[in-house]
Amino acid sequence: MSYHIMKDTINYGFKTVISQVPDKPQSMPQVKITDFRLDLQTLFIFYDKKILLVQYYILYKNQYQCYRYSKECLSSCLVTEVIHVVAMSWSGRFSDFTGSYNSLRNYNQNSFIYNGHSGSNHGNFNITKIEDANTGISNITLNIQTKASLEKRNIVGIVLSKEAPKSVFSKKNPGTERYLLNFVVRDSPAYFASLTCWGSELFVKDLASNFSVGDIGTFLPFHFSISENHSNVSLFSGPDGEIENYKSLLQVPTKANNDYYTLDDVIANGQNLHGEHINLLAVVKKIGLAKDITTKNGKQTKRCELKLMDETCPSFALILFSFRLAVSISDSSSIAVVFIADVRVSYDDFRKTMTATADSKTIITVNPVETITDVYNIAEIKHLQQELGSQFKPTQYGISYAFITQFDIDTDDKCRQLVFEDKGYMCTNPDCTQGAIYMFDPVLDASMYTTEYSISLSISDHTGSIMPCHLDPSIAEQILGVKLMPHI
Amino acid sequence: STERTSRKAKVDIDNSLHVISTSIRGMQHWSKYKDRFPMLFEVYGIIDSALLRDKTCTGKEFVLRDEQDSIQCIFYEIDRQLPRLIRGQWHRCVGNFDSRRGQLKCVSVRPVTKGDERQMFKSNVAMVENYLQQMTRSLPEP
Repeated sequence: MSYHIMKDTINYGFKTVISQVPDKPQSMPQVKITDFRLDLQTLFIFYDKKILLVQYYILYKNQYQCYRYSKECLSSCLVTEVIHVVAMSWSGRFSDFTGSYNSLRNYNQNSFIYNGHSGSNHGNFNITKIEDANTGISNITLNIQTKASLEKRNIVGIVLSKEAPKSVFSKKNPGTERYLLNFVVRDSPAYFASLTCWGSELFVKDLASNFSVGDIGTFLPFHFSISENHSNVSLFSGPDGEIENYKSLLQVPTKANNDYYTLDDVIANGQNLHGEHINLLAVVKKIGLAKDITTKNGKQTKRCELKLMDETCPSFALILFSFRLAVSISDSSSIAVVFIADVRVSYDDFRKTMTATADSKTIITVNPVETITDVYNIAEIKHLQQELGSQFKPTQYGISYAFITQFDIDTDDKCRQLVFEDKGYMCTNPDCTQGAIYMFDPVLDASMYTTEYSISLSISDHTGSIMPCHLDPSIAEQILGVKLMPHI
Repeated sequence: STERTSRKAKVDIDNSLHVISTSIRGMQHWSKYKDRFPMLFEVYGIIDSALLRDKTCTGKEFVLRDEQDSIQCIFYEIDRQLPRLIRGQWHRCVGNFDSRRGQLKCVSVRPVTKGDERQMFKSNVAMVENYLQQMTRSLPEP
């Protein structure tokens, strides 16, 4: 049994499908897809009551794009057995370290996978993508634990979050303290990992002062835990374009964009949520003053309280114990919105209400990205059409302010995809029911047919008109205000 | 060679429908290029007359006035009726300019609904003006 990262197995924009490919390709099971559900980061495909999961993201101009696919398009793909692979950080808690250091090391070994997909060369050293290291893979028993998989590697990533240095009392040498520093780094929209740096007080404190959230670091060589003796962390000095690539990752939330509680939901759930880690999307209303406090085990730390608000709740307390989070928030000129992943909520007996506390698991995304920001006029869109016309399934997203100048609901709609001579005048539109689908899979299950609006319209502005434009079936439903009944 | 470039410029003009947001004066100006490319106008103005039927009894006529100019408008009630419009209020009209009769044939008339709509329209007018000037620079004045 071997594991491959199959790039573009599904050729229509699904970035990476990690597939378990049997040794004999003939025995590859052909999966009939019966239903699927979309959310921002992942596409869930259901079949035979099993959930298959396909990694699903698109980078356009360094920004994360949500991408929709029709059922027809999927059904034409041969989906091999897909293993549950989600990009999860190893979200370690402080208590994980208090046990023996060996158990941590074992954890790392078990979760390492090497898939032969080498990182791109950069300078003198290889950069391994976190994606390829496959952190946090669960549900898979690995049988490729070769030495190669444990080779040390370098990664480059943007620092999503960083904690204040901590120390634990060493069990090996009683009376001394070991210092540690946690980073969460990310190098692609779907993959991020938690790194722990161990070392002497000087090393760790030096590291902590050198890096702040938003810096791009080279972690050399890559290991889950970075120790003073074997590893090094330095600021990344790559070409500007590359740095921008990483910077944009800072604004991509680490969770699906619909996976959050409104503040009122938290209060309504009350003690049911006590101690749970949840995600919040809220506006920062007020940043309180940082106060010095002493913890139970006698260490000095800082405590800062933020007031959050959203449309359901005027004020909700978020407590930060390491001051750096508040700093990073107040630095950005317009704070407005924060997406807080994995914040611990608890019932505060004193205030008689719920409060949230950021802990080591928490990642705060300031001003989560708005995916589509480019504005085009019609002439520019026409220009784009020509530019992208030669590509297979060209996709570009943008906003256009235009007039609808033709909207004929009685039209007998054709796909009207542009065909090109060098493609043999073949229609390459995967959304078209008369087009590409029949080329791949002429036998379609009747249960796969869906009924949807197919309306084309013209849009115009002062620079010209585009005719025809395809109106997305769900948008058509919205515009017409009439839900389509399934055709029986 | 100058002749060749000017001919090339003519070819470059997109001859699909252009929807031009402009003032009444702008509409009178840009409609000179009518035979170069098809156009439809969007203008904002105050209705400055009563709404009366025309001689043929198929259309309704009114006067639209903006900051500088005023113009006769007509709306033919072919597939729908004109709603009751209030004199003295700002309205948005979309239609074809009939330069022979100096009349705007409206296909849509509605009151200005949002407060900031006219402000947005004004900035749009400036942008459209700029674009059209660039575009028609190489064309001979008709």
